[in-house]
Parts: sequence; C-alpha cells; structure tokens
Amino acid sequence: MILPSVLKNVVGPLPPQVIRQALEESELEYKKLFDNAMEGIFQIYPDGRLIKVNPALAGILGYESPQQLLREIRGNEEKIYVNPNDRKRLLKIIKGKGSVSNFESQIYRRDGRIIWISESAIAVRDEKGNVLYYEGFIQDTTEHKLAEEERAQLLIEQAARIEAEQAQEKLTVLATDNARLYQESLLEIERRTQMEKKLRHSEKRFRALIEKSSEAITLVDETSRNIYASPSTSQILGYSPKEFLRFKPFVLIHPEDRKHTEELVKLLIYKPYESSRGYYRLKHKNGSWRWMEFIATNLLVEPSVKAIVVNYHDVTERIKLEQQKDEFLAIASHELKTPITTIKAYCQILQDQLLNKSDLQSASYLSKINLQVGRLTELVKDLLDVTRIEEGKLLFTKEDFNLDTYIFGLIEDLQQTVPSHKLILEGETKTQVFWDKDRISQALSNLVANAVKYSPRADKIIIRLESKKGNILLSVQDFGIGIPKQYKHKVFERFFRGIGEKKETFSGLGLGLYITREIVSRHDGKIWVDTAEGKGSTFCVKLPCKSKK
Amino acid sequence: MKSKKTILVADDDLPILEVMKIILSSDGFNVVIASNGGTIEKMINETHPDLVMMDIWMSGFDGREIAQKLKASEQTKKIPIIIISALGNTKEIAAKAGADDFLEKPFEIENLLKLAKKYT
Repeated sequence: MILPSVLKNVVGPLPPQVIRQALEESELEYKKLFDNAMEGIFQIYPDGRLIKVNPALAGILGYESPQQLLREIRGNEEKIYVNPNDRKRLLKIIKGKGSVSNFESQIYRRDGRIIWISESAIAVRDEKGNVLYYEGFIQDTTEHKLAEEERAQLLIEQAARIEAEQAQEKLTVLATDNARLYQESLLEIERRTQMEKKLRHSEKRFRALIEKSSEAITLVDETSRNIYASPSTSQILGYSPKEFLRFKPFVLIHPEDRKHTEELVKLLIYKPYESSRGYYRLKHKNGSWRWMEFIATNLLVEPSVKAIVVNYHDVTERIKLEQQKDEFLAIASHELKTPITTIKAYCQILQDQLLNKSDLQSASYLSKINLQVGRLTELVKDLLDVTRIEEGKLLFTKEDFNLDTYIFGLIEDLQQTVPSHKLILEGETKTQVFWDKDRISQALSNLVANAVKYSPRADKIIIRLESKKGNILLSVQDFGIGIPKQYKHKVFERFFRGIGEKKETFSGLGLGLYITREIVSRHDGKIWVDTAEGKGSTFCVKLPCKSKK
Repeated sequence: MKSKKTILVADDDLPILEVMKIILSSDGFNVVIASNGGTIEKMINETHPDLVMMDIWMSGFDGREIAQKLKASEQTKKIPIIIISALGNTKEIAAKAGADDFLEKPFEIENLLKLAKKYT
C-alpha cells in the first residue's frame, strides 16, 4: 500500500539521477514509516518465511527488537500460532486471492502469554506480475477481544441474572403453592397410610376368612386349570392345597357329574361376573365320594382375581338325609296306600252285593266310605307330590287327546263326588291338546274341590272352556266367600289355607293350589284368580294347546 | 263254554292278595297266588298262567328284576305282565321293566277287571 503510493508519483521518462534520488527519498520515507508505525508490519516470502518485521510488531509479540524476533522465530513461524492450522489457512487465502484482511487468530508472545491478533496482507509483485513477497499488518486485538468476550459474558450473566430473578419470582409463587401442596400431600400420605392399613386389615380379614372357612375355595383360570386351593381343601378332601393343585382339572369329579360340570364352566367363561351353582361328587383322598354344593363365579375380567372362583362345601350328610327323607316318604306313601287299596276294594265289592240285594241305604253308606277313602288317597298322593315338586322330580307323561271329550267325562266324574253343588260346563274348544291327562285332571279337581269348599252356601260352580290363538282358557267360578285382598297373592303358596269371615277354618293340607300351580307351569301355562270378598272367586288357567315335552 | 283263564297274582300283602282273588274269581278267572317273589317262577312252571299281575316291592324281591327275567326267558316271554303298585311312578317302572301294562294302587275294581280281560 505504501510502496505504490510512493511510486505513483513516478511518471514519464525522467533522468536517471532524478529517478535514483526519488527512489532514495521514497525508500527513506518508507523506512521512516516502517520503523515508527504503531501497527506491526511484516514482509514474508511466498513460502511463509519472514523477511523483515518492524519494531511495533516485535513489541506486540514481546521481543526487544525486530532482530531478536527474526533470530528466534524465522523458520518456525508456525509455532507462534496457538492453532498452527490458522497459519496454514492464512497463507492459503493469500496465495489464492492475493490478499487477506482482518484474519483473526491467537498467538503465543515470547513470554508465553496468549494474545489475539488480527492480520491483513497483500501480495507485492514485480513488473511481470510474479509475487515477490507479501506485506501485511498485525494488530493486537486482545483487549478488544477480551472486551467483546467480557461484554458477551456480561450479557450472558445479565440474561442469566434476569432469568434467575424471574425464576426466583416464579419460585416464590411456586413455593407458596408448594407449601400448600406439601400440606395436602402430607394429608394425602396420611390418608393413604390409613387406607393401606385398612386394606391390609381387610386383606388379613379376608385371608383369615378364606383360610379358616369350612368352605373350600379353588381358583380356576380360563383354561380350566386349578391355580389356587384354599387350606380348607385338606379338611374337605384330605388333600393339601399343594397336592390338590397337582390334579388335572375335573379329575376328582365323579364321572357321572364331570361332563355336566365341564359344560357349566365352559358356558360360564363367556359370562363375566355371573355365577352358576350346583352339586357334584368329589373323590376324597380316602377313596370315598363326597357330595359338594358349589357356586362358581366368573371373575376372569376382575384384574385382582383373573379367575373363576369356585366355593364348595361338603353336603354329603345333608344329601344322605334328603335321600332318607325321600325314601321314607316313598315308603310311607306306599305303605299308606296298601291298606287303602284293600279297603277300597272291599267297599266296592260290598256295594255291588248290597245293590244286588237292593239294600240301597247300606249301599249309600258304603259309597260315602268309598268317597272318604278317595279323599284319603288324594291326601297321600298330595304329600308325595309336594315332596316331588320340592325336588323337581314331579313326573309328567304328556299325550295328545281331545280336550272337550276329556273335560266332559271328568266333570261327570267330579259331579259324583260333589252332591252339594251343580257343576255347569260352558263353552267348548274343539281342540287336540298335548298335556298330561292325569295331572290336568288333578289340577281341575283341585280347583273344583276348592270352589266347593269355599262356597258352602252356594249351589253351583261354573266351569268355562275357551280356545284362543293356540291357548286354552279354563276357568272355575264359585259364588262363595272370596279371598281378602291381603291373601290374594298367597293362595298359591304351600300350606296356605283360607280363613272365613268368622275366622272359621276350612279342611285340607293347604297343598291343592300349590300343586295346581306347579302342574300349570309345567305345561308352560299361567294361573291367576279374580276375586271379590263375599262374592266369590274365579280361578283362571291359560295353557298352550301344545306344551313342551 | 270257554275254558277258564288263569291269572297269577303276586303280592306280599296278604289282604290285597285275598281281595284280588275274590274280585278276579268272581269274574270267572282261575286265580293262583304267590305271596313271595321267590315262588313266582316255580308257580309259573306249575300253573302256566295266561297273565301275571305283580307288585314291585315284595319282601326282599324286586318285581322289576323278576319281570325282566320273565321277559328275557323263551318259556315265559309271551306271558303278559301287569305291574300293580302303590308307587307314584308305577307307569315308568312298568315300562322300564318291560311289563305290558300297569295299574296304580289304590285301583277301581272296574279298571282291574278291564286289564285282566284285555290281556287274557
């Protein structure tokens, strides 16, 4: 930069001594500038070796003189750079572009101190354009850089401080909130501790209930595998829970009960939260079969259980007693009927003989005995039927028959037993029905017997028959005492007996309507009563013509 | 006149045996009685009855088993058997035992005679 400015004054052909003088002046001027400049000035060869430096540059780098600097650095110029790559980059830029400006890098001073410098340089060429050397300036920018860094640091600190202040503010708010939350948390913790305590307590209680219960509990998973057996298993079956769990599912169930139980469990799997109950026999460790009453509940979807819970307890003794009761009733009924059979037969023989002798009065006495024998028979039958209903063992034998003909005959027979009332049959059905003849006869007889019994002052009973849309409507109407409202729903209950106005009682076991209702429901029908106190009752039965088998 | 038909009546209740004999005899049947299940087979071999009427519960003998045995034997399978019992499910029992018919005690004389005539 300086050299060209000196040379630009050299214009046109001048005498050699003028040129020499001008050159000398210019050289002198440059040297003056070079030596006294505040900026560091350097000249380097294209390969990077220093040619000369000015005193300012020596000062910047901590050397006493340019000579000392050149002596100590020349040939090792790279080494003063903190990052030697900076020097290589710098030379590459100058070579490529012919100049570089404000190239910043860190260098070591002679005393080892690191300073920031900024370099600018330009290529000096001969007349043909070949690079002779590079000449450039170095500035110590450490202070500037430090100030910059300081400012940046300051800014960062300031930002941090502001942030901290804001954070502090937030913290204050949060702290207030926290204090409140903390209090609440304490309460919550206290509450949870209490709850856990309660939970543990209740868990303990349930565990005790399960473990001390006389009922055994087995958990079965969705593949029907036993996954838990309660301790009472050993009391009930002789097997410890551990032994019990070794058995494959259903293996201990009696072969006759197994299929039924398996099916029941299979169905239950698809019914969350539902229960099924029943009975099965399980094989005790001692080889005997024990009757169990069980209830199985599907808790597969309950996360804390995930199983079918089967509770069961030993009912062998009860079943034995029930079997004994059944047997006793069957025997009692059989034994009661046996003498009745003989009495009845003799009555009929005697009656025939008396009629042959035209002893009508004696014959009529005998027919009264016969009637009472009939009543006795019905009572014995009712007792047996009730126990059968209770056990669900009442047998039905259904067949196809003409209803009108059958009812007509039945009413005729019934009329024989009911001299006090006229039985009036109204309507017809012209229908074939599929019912149990004997049971329907039993039901109608019960209704007629009731009608007669509860209308002591009346003299007729109306029996109506009607066919309606595949159903038969059958009603028995009396004109007696009727049923007080409060008893209307009770008349079909077992052992219920009517009570008259003057608290007079009526005979019977209170089983007739109970049995009748069972017969009707086993024919898929309905029974109900329309009644008014003091005016009489009408018992209505609605039955489908074709009941299920 | 048609020869008398023979009916074997088996029951362990003597009064019933007696009254049945009276009823059936007075209607022209020849009645032989067995008061014990164990003698039925012997009686059949001796008297060749046209019809057997028997109870189910007979002091140590089960009428069902006897009926089944009679129906399984070549010699006796053609003899009609009527089960007469005071049990509530006489009908089912009779059907299971292979009997031809049933009558529930107590019965009407009329029904007893009807059955006797039907099977002889």
